[in-house]
Amino acid sequence: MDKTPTAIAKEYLASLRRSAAGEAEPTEYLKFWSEDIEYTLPGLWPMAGVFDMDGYREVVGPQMKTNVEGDRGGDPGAGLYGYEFIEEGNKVCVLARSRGRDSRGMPYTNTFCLWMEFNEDGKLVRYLDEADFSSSWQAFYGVHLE
Amino acid sequence: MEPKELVSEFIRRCDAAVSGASGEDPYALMAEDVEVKVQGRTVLSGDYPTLEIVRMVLVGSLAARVAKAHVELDSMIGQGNRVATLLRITGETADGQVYNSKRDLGGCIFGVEGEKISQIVLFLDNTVVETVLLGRQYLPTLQEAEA
Repeated sequence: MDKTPTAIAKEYLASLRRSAAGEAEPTEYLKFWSEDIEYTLPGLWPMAGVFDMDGYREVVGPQMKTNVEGDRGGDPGAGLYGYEFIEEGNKVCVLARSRGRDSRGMPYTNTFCLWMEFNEDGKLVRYLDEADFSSSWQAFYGVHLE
Repeated sequence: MEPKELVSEFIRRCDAAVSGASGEDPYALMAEDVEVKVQGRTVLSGDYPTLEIVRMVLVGSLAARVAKAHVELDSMIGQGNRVATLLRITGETADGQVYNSKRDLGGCIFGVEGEKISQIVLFLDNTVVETVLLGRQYLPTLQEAEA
């Protein structure tokens, strides 16, 4: 790898922010992924699962468009901001906060823990994308807790 | 002990404690002024400052609902006095429900000072916490139900 995992992760977050703010293609960030990535969204909510690149495009991608559109509505400065990067070898764990809008257009924030592992080409091969998905489920899928 | 070694031992002791096996006290590896942060917006979420509050409020709340559990270390990296882990936390509630049936991994970050754990930032899967641990359910909102 020419860059450190932390440096790549920072570029990745910047790409996510460009997408969220409407300054880049909605899936620009996928250029950081390897084709055989193991991408995990944990939990019991509709987007949860373990995906490769094709699976992401088939399952998660459409929901990003239909359900999470409000979180990527083009607000300047919206998106994901890392505040701690713990790195060793080809891995980095990123703690981050996000800002966007829910399906009603109201402010929506979340807290993330991103576990990223890179191959020799600097592409993501293992990526756990964890946040408070209970909040996400309620923010984007028209459900509430009882 | 080095930070990663300390965290590994702490996780081993936690697993022994919550699974019912005998073992050494995990609290002995935590600083008296430890700060535990549980991420998200469940009733368990928030800051738990001091070892006393961790034991009496956080662990006490969990003990009311968890019959047994396992904490497995999947991955660990460290940088200075900070250690990041991927944990697989599974278990069974007091009323027999399986916690984390998908065996998902979750992140947990540790801060270490003076051979004691001084901070823990824990990411539980809150969809599982709400449904399995707290017995709640996600229902369509009125507008969605009428659509």
